[in-house]
Amino acid sequence: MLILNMLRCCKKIINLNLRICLLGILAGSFLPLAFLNSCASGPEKRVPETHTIVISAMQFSPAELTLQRGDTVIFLNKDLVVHDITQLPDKSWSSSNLSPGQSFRMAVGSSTDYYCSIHPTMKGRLLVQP
Amino acid sequence: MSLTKSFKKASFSLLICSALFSTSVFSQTKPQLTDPEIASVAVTANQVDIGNAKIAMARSKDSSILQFAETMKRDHQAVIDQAVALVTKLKVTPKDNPVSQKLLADAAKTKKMLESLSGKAFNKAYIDNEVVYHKAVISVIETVLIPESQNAELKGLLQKVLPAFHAHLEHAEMLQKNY
Repeated sequence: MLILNMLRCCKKIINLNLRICLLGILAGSFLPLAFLNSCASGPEKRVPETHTIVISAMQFSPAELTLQRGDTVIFLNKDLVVHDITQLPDKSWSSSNLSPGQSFRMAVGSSTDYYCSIHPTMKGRLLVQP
Repeated sequence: MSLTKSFKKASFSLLICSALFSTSVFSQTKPQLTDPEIASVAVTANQVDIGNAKIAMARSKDSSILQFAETMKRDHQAVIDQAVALVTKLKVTPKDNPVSQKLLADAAKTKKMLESLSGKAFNKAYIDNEVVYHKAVISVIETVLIPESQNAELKGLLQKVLPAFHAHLEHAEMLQKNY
Protein backbone atom coordinates (compact mmCIF):
# COMPACT_ATOMS: atom_id res chain seq x y z
CA MET A 1 0.00 0.00 0.00
CA LEU A 2 2.78 2.33 0.92
CA ILE A 3 4.60 1.47 -2.26
CA LEU A 4 1.47 2.06 -4.27
CA ASN A 5 1.03 5.50 -2.69
CA MET A 6 4.66 6.33 -3.35
CA LEU A 7 4.26 5.34 -7.01
CA ARG A 8 1.14 7.55 -7.42
CA CYS A 9 3.00 10.45 -5.83
CA CYS A 10 5.93 9.97 -8.18
CA LYS A 11 3.55 9.92 -11.19
CA LYS A 12 1.98 13.21 -10.07
CA ILE A 13 5.38 14.81 -9.68
CA ILE A 14 6.45 13.59 -13.12
CA ASN A 15 3.22 14.88 -14.68
CA LEU A 16 3.70 18.26 -13.02
CA ASN A 17 7.31 18.43 -14.14
CA LEU A 18 6.30 17.49 -17.64
CA ARG A 19 3.72 20.29 -17.70
CA ILE A 20 6.23 22.80 -16.35
CA CYS A 21 8.73 21.60 -18.88
CA LEU A 22 6.26 21.94 -21.74
CA LEU A 23 5.31 25.43 -20.57
CA GLY A 24 9.00 26.30 -20.45
CA ILE A 25 9.55 25.05 -23.98
CA LEU A 26 6.53 26.97 -25.23
CA ALA A 27 7.60 30.12 -23.43
CA GLY A 28 11.14 29.67 -24.67
CA SER A 29 9.88 29.38 -28.23
CA PHE A 30 7.56 32.38 -28.23
CA LEU A 31 9.47 34.87 -26.14
CA PRO A 32 12.29 35.41 -28.69
CA LEU A 33 9.66 35.74 -31.44
CA ALA A 34 7.75 38.29 -29.41
CA PHE A 35 11.00 40.15 -28.76
CA LEU A 36 11.95 40.17 -32.42
CA ASN A 37 8.47 41.25 -33.36
CA SER A 38 8.56 44.19 -30.96
CA CYS A 39 11.95 45.23 -32.35
CA ALA A 40 10.77 45.11 -35.99
CA SER A 41 7.56 47.13 -35.57
CA GLY A 42 9.39 50.26 -34.23
CA PRO A 43 8.09 53.43 -35.95
CA GLU A 44 5.44 52.27 -38.49
CA LYS A 45 6.52 52.46 -42.14
CA ARG A 46 4.05 54.39 -44.39
CA VAL A 47 3.28 53.13 -47.85
CA PRO A 48 3.67 56.02 -50.37
CA GLU A 49 0.41 57.10 -51.97
CA THR A 50 -0.40 58.07 -55.54
CA HIS A 51 -2.45 61.20 -56.15
CA THR A 52 -4.04 62.35 -59.40
CA ILE A 53 -4.31 65.97 -60.50
CA VAL A 54 -6.71 66.40 -63.40
CA ILE A 55 -6.16 69.17 -65.94
CA SER A 56 -9.53 70.28 -67.23
CA ALA A 57 -11.19 73.56 -68.29
CA MET A 58 -7.79 75.29 -68.11
CA GLN A 59 -7.33 74.42 -64.41
CA PHE A 60 -5.37 72.02 -62.23
CA SER A 61 -7.76 70.14 -59.96
CA PRO A 62 -7.07 70.16 -57.09
CA ALA A 63 -5.01 73.34 -57.53
CA GLU A 64 -3.42 72.78 -54.11
CA LEU A 65 -2.54 69.26 -52.95
CA THR A 66 -1.14 68.26 -49.54
CA LEU A 67 0.89 65.04 -49.58
CA GLN A 68 3.77 63.19 -47.89
CA ARG A 69 7.39 63.11 -49.00
CA GLY A 70 7.86 60.24 -51.47
CA ASP A 71 4.24 60.23 -52.66
CA THR A 72 3.63 60.14 -56.39
CA VAL A 73 1.56 62.62 -58.37
CA ILE A 74 0.02 61.88 -61.75
CA PHE A 75 -1.03 64.89 -63.85
CA LEU A 76 -3.73 63.77 -66.28
CA ASN A 77 -4.64 66.08 -69.17
CA LYS A 78 -8.39 65.82 -69.75
CA ASP A 79 -8.57 69.20 -71.48
CA LEU A 80 -9.11 70.10 -75.14
CA VAL A 81 -5.63 71.55 -75.59
CA VAL A 82 -1.97 70.74 -74.91
CA HIS A 83 -0.55 71.61 -71.46
CA ASP A 84 2.66 71.11 -69.53
CA ILE A 85 3.72 71.21 -65.87
CA THR A 86 6.69 73.44 -65.04
CA GLN A 87 8.21 74.19 -61.64
CA LEU A 88 7.95 77.73 -60.30
CA PRO A 89 9.70 80.09 -59.87
CA ASP A 90 12.95 78.91 -61.53
CA LYS A 91 11.62 76.22 -63.92
CA SER A 92 13.96 73.64 -62.35
CA TRP A 93 11.88 70.80 -63.81
CA SER A 94 9.22 70.48 -66.45
CA SER A 95 7.13 67.80 -68.07
CA SER A 96 7.04 67.41 -71.81
CA ASN A 97 3.97 68.77 -73.62
CA LEU A 98 0.94 66.69 -72.69
CA SER A 99 -1.63 66.23 -75.43
CA PRO A 100 -5.23 65.55 -74.40
CA GLY A 101 -5.36 62.11 -72.77
CA GLN A 102 -1.65 62.04 -71.86
CA SER A 103 -0.26 62.10 -68.32
CA PHE A 104 2.92 62.97 -66.41
CA ARG A 105 4.04 61.06 -63.32
CA MET A 106 6.52 62.29 -60.70
CA ALA A 107 7.65 61.46 -57.15
CA VAL A 108 7.43 64.48 -54.88
CA GLY A 109 10.38 65.27 -52.62
CA SER A 110 9.52 68.74 -51.42
CA SER A 111 6.85 71.44 -51.55
CA THR A 112 6.72 73.36 -54.79
CA ASP A 113 4.66 75.70 -56.92
CA TYR A 114 4.11 74.94 -60.59
CA TYR A 115 2.30 76.29 -63.64
CA CYS A 116 1.54 75.54 -67.26
CA SER A 117 4.23 77.36 -69.24
CA ILE A 118 1.95 77.30 -72.31
CA HIS A 119 -0.91 78.98 -70.40
CA PRO A 120 0.86 80.92 -67.63
CA THR A 121 -2.34 81.85 -65.82
CA MET A 122 -2.81 78.16 -64.85
CA LYS A 123 -1.07 77.57 -61.51
CA GLY A 124 -0.89 74.90 -58.81
CA ARG A 125 0.89 74.00 -55.57
CA LEU A 126 2.19 70.77 -53.98
CA LEU A 127 2.53 70.96 -50.20
CA VAL A 128 4.68 68.25 -48.60
CA GLN A 129 3.82 67.72 -44.93
CA PRO A 130 6.87 67.91 -42.63
CA MET B 1 5.56 111.29 -83.47
CA SER B 2 5.54 111.24 -87.28
CA LEU B 3 2.35 111.72 -89.26
CA THR B 4 2.51 108.11 -90.49
CA LYS B 5 2.81 106.79 -86.95
CA SER B 6 -0.08 108.95 -85.80
CA PHE B 7 -2.17 107.74 -88.71
CA LYS B 8 -1.37 104.11 -87.97
CA LYS B 9 -2.18 104.57 -84.30
CA ALA B 10 -5.47 106.29 -85.16
CA SER B 11 -6.34 103.54 -87.65
CA PHE B 12 -5.67 100.89 -85.05
CA SER B 13 -7.85 102.68 -82.49
CA LEU B 14 -10.63 102.88 -85.06
CA LEU B 15 -10.25 99.18 -85.75
CA ILE B 16 -10.48 98.37 -82.05
CA CYS B 17 -13.62 100.51 -81.78
CA SER B 18 -15.02 98.77 -84.83
CA ALA B 19 -14.42 95.37 -83.24
CA LEU B 20 -16.04 96.50 -80.00
CA PHE B 21 -18.94 97.97 -81.95
CA SER B 22 -19.30 94.70 -83.79
CA THR B 23 -19.63 92.96 -80.43
CA SER B 24 -22.34 95.34 -79.33
CA VAL B 25 -24.10 94.87 -82.67
CA PHE B 26 -24.09 91.11 -81.98
CA SER B 27 -25.61 91.58 -78.57
CA GLN B 28 -28.09 94.30 -79.58
CA THR B 29 -29.54 92.70 -82.69
CA LYS B 30 -29.05 89.10 -81.51
CA PRO B 31 -28.80 87.40 -84.88
CA GLN B 32 -30.85 84.23 -85.03
CA LEU B 33 -28.50 81.45 -86.05
CA THR B 34 -29.14 77.83 -86.92
CA ASP B 35 -26.78 75.08 -85.77
CA PRO B 36 -24.98 74.92 -89.16
CA GLU B 37 -24.48 78.71 -88.98
CA ILE B 38 -23.24 78.49 -85.38
CA ALA B 39 -20.73 75.82 -86.46
CA SER B 40 -19.54 78.18 -89.22
CA VAL B 41 -19.10 81.09 -86.77
CA ALA B 42 -17.20 78.86 -84.32
CA VAL B 43 -14.79 77.59 -86.97
CA THR B 44 -14.34 81.05 -88.55
CA ALA B 45 -13.63 82.73 -85.19
CA ASN B 46 -10.84 80.22 -84.54
CA GLN B 47 -9.46 80.49 -88.07
CA VAL B 48 -9.25 84.28 -87.75
CA ASP B 49 -7.09 84.04 -84.64
CA ILE B 50 -4.86 81.41 -86.26
CA GLY B 51 -4.40 83.88 -89.13
CA ASN B 52 -3.36 86.61 -86.69
CA ALA B 53 -0.96 84.22 -84.95
CA LYS B 54 0.69 83.35 -88.27
CA ILE B 55 1.26 87.04 -88.99
CA ALA B 56 2.83 87.46 -85.53
CA MET B 57 5.07 84.42 -86.05
CA ALA B 58 6.29 85.90 -89.32
CA ARG B 59 6.76 89.51 -88.17
CA SER B 60 7.73 89.48 -84.49
CA LYS B 61 11.07 88.63 -82.92
CA ASP B 62 9.82 88.98 -79.35
CA SER B 63 9.94 85.62 -77.53
CA SER B 64 6.80 86.29 -75.44
CA ILE B 65 4.82 87.32 -78.51
CA LEU B 66 6.11 84.33 -80.47
CA GLN B 67 5.22 81.92 -77.67
CA PHE B 68 1.75 83.44 -77.29
CA ALA B 69 1.17 83.25 -81.06
CA GLU B 70 2.30 79.61 -81.11
CA THR B 71 -0.17 78.84 -78.30
CA MET B 72 -3.00 80.61 -80.16
CA LYS B 73 -2.25 78.69 -83.34
CA ARG B 74 -2.15 75.33 -81.55
CA ASP B 75 -5.13 75.87 -79.22
CA HIS B 76 -7.47 77.32 -81.85
CA GLN B 77 -6.55 74.51 -84.25
CA ALA B 78 -7.44 72.03 -81.48
CA VAL B 79 -10.85 73.71 -81.12
CA ILE B 80 -11.40 73.60 -84.91
CA ASP B 81 -10.48 69.90 -84.93
CA GLN B 82 -13.06 69.24 -82.19
CA ALA B 83 -15.71 71.27 -84.02
CA VAL B 84 -15.04 69.53 -87.33
CA ALA B 85 -15.19 66.12 -85.64
CA LEU B 86 -18.53 67.04 -84.08
CA VAL B 87 -20.19 68.42 -87.23
CA THR B 88 -18.96 65.37 -89.14
CA LYS B 89 -20.52 63.12 -86.51
CA LEU B 90 -23.75 65.14 -86.54
CA LYS B 91 -23.71 65.30 -90.37
CA VAL B 92 -24.01 69.09 -90.21
CA THR B 93 -22.45 71.26 -92.91
CA PRO B 94 -21.30 74.66 -91.56
CA LYS B 95 -23.30 77.38 -93.32
CA ASP B 96 -22.03 80.84 -94.16
CA ASN B 97 -23.94 83.68 -92.49
CA PRO B 98 -23.66 87.43 -91.69
CA VAL B 99 -21.79 86.86 -88.41
CA SER B 100 -19.10 84.73 -90.08
CA GLN B 101 -18.88 87.27 -92.90
CA LYS B 102 -18.44 90.12 -90.41
CA LEU B 103 -15.69 88.20 -88.62
CA LEU B 104 -13.86 87.67 -91.91
CA ALA B 105 -14.30 91.30 -93.01
CA ASP B 106 -12.88 92.56 -89.70
CA ALA B 107 -10.06 90.02 -89.94
CA ALA B 108 -9.06 91.37 -93.35
CA LYS B 109 -8.81 94.90 -91.90
CA THR B 110 -6.78 93.64 -88.92
CA LYS B 111 -4.44 91.71 -91.22
CA LYS B 112 -3.82 94.82 -93.30
CA MET B 113 -3.15 96.91 -90.21
CA LEU B 114 -0.80 94.34 -88.63
CA GLU B 115 1.14 93.88 -91.84
CA SER B 116 1.81 97.61 -91.98
CA LEU B 117 3.63 97.51 -88.64
CA SER B 118 6.90 96.12 -87.36
CA GLY B 119 9.02 95.92 -84.21
CA LYS B 120 7.57 97.22 -80.95
CA ALA B 121 4.60 98.84 -82.72
CA PHE B 122 3.67 95.48 -84.21
CA ASN B 123 4.00 93.65 -80.88
CA LYS B 124 1.75 96.18 -79.17
CA ALA B 125 -0.83 96.19 -81.97
CA TYR B 126 -0.92 92.38 -82.08
CA ILE B 127 -1.39 91.89 -78.37
CA ASP B 128 -3.89 94.76 -78.11
CA ASN B 129 -5.91 93.17 -80.88
CA GLU B 130 -5.75 89.77 -79.14
CA VAL B 131 -7.26 91.30 -76.00
CA VAL B 132 -10.06 92.99 -77.94
CA TYR B 133 -10.67 89.99 -80.20
CA HIS B 134 -10.91 87.46 -77.37
CA LYS B 135 -13.29 89.73 -75.44
CA ALA B 136 -15.48 90.04 -78.55
CA VAL B 137 -15.46 86.29 -79.30
CA ILE B 138 -16.18 85.37 -75.66
CA SER B 139 -19.14 87.74 -75.75
CA VAL B 140 -20.47 86.22 -78.99
CA ILE B 141 -20.09 82.67 -77.65
CA GLU B 142 -21.80 83.52 -74.36
CA THR B 143 -24.63 85.70 -75.67
CA VAL B 144 -25.33 84.26 -79.12
CA LEU B 145 -23.78 80.89 -79.90
CA ILE B 146 -24.47 79.00 -76.67
CA PRO B 147 -28.02 80.30 -76.10
CA GLU B 148 -29.02 79.70 -79.73
CA SER B 149 -27.49 76.29 -80.35
CA GLN B 150 -30.16 73.60 -80.51
CA ASN B 151 -28.00 70.48 -80.48
CA ALA B 152 -26.86 69.54 -76.97
CA GLU B 153 -23.45 68.32 -78.14
CA LEU B 154 -22.79 71.53 -80.06
CA LYS B 155 -23.85 73.59 -77.04
CA GLY B 156 -21.62 71.38 -74.84
CA LEU B 157 -18.59 71.91 -77.08
CA LEU B 158 -19.09 75.69 -77.05
CA GLN B 159 -19.29 75.62 -73.25
CA LYS B 160 -16.18 73.45 -73.14
CA VAL B 161 -14.08 75.86 -75.24
CA LEU B 162 -14.98 78.95 -73.21
CA PRO B 163 -12.37 78.39 -70.45
CA ALA B 164 -9.64 78.30 -73.12
CA PHE B 165 -10.79 81.64 -74.54
CA HIS B 166 -10.86 83.15 -71.04
CA ALA B 167 -7.34 81.83 -70.34
CA HIS B 168 -6.13 83.31 -73.65
CA LEU B 169 -7.66 86.66 -72.72
CA GLU B 170 -5.97 86.64 -69.29
CA HIS B 171 -2.65 85.68 -70.91
CA ALA B 172 -2.98 88.47 -73.49
CA GLU B 173 -3.86 91.03 -70.79
CA MET B 174 -0.83 89.87 -68.78
CA LEU B 175 1.45 90.42 -71.80
CA GLN B 176 -0.25 93.69 -72.74
CA LYS B 177 1.22 95.35 -69.62
CA ASN B 178 4.72 94.90 -71.09
CA TYR B 179 4.07 96.61 -74.43
